[in-house]
Amino acid sequence: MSFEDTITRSIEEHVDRVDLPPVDVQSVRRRGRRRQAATTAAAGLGVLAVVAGGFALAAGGEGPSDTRIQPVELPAMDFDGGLRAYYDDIRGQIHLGGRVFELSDVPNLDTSSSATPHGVVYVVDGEVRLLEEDGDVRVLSPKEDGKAVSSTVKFDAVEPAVAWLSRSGDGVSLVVHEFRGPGDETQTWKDMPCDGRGCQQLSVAGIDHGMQFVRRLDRDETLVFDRGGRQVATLDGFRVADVRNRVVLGEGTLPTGEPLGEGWRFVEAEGPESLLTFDGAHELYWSSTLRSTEGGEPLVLDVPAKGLEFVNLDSDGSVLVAVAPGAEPQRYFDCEVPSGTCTPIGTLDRTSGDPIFLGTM
Amino acid sequence: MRPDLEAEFEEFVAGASPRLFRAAYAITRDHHLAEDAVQSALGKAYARWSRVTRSEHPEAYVRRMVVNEVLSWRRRKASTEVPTDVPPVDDPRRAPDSHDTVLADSDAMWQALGLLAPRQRAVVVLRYYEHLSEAEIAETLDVRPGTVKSQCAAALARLRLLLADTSTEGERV
Repeated sequence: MSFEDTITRSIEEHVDRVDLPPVDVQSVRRRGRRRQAATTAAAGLGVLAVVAGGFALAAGGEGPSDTRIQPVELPAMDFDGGLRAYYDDIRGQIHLGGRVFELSDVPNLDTSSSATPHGVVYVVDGEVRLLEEDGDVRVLSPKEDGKAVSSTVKFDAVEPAVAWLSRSGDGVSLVVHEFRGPGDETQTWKDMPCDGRGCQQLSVAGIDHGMQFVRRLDRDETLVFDRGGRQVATLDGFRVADVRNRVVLGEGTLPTGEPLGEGWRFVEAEGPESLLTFDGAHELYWSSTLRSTEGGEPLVLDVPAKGLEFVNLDSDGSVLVAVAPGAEPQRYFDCEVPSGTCTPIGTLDRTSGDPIFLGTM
Repeated sequence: MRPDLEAEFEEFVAGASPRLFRAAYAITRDHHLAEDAVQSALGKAYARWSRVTRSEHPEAYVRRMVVNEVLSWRRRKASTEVPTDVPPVDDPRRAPDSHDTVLADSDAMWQALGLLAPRQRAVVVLRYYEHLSEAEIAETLDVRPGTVKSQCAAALARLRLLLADTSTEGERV
């Protein structure tokens, strides 16, 4: 054994036998948010400061989690115009489907919940739940011992399906839940081609026309599966941010040829948080002006030009916008695509943190 | 932070924090300091997660933050730190078998590593435990590759010297 090998072996032997401390993600987040707040204050900026307030804290596991499936009966909502879900951290209320709820009435919804055309999909203690338009909450996938569910849930805007990742000690499965009709739902599980560290780095990037996109966080690579669970492509060097209407938005090296078949096109994203409008024609990236993915005219949303605070896609494909010019209250808009016409949906007093939407991400 | 990135961050923490902790521990040799350094670095990573995810290798980006945090901690703690002596490799009166020898070498090496200057130890850990290239270590420590080469050579020379002294000390027992 060489001298250098002895060094390696010595470190491995002494480090590998040390107990790993539990990871306190909430504590890390709090540190990060304090740092963001301090950095923002120091820089004299305020517009996009992320100081997630009581909502994230209340829903993020600060107190005992509520294991009841729904503590109070919720009234029916109206999802026709999208979920239009946003949070009022001063009053502790959530606006959802035309109703206003106390946070305590919907304790497990948080910023990682997914607004889908089928309702709000969210994860509680390894159980995937769906809050439906009629106020009912039901379980899409029960908790299984030894399995954890990724909080990222993506939905197909064309076909009635949502997708998430289920993790266990054995590996990772991509779960696709299809809402074919009342009483006609199916769920397919596909084992992901990964092992060890690689399994920890997977994330659902999107689902469109039944095609499922899973990206690796530690490298520029996206795996693509068809509705039958067959892997149809590996997009080397391309990290998918969003997929809509056969437009694949991502960062890295644009794939050449037609790795997904005819009709699919690849567009370079402005950033990792970029989203596509449901028609795939425009990219939403921290602005009320949406770049065309076809080189055409941008889509300009009819909201005040200054004071944009937050944007997100809603479950119906419209764009939710929060604007707060100067010291004025935050104003919320629901903007149609592709017209850009915006409807005011609410006004909140200034809060200490971000406007918080339950998004489609 | 947007929900998608929140989820990505959580997954990143779950996957990378054991490796980050082990690297931090290998440099600090202090469980509490290593844990705190990783938590602090992850907090900073959270605050700039968009930028982290835009980097070519997010884990390398955060590892750099961890190492810097560790070295910062080391600097803060340096004034109160008392280095430990390298213990005897083994009892020379007992003839060691090959397995014992390997274990003894490993323990003595670990103790000797503890006597290196923190930055030299960081270079050694990144080179021989994390198996990074000189260029990657240079980027992690924000120094020139030539500095990594010289620091590594100095560290190896110091280790050889320390272990030779240990062997001599052992023979005197």
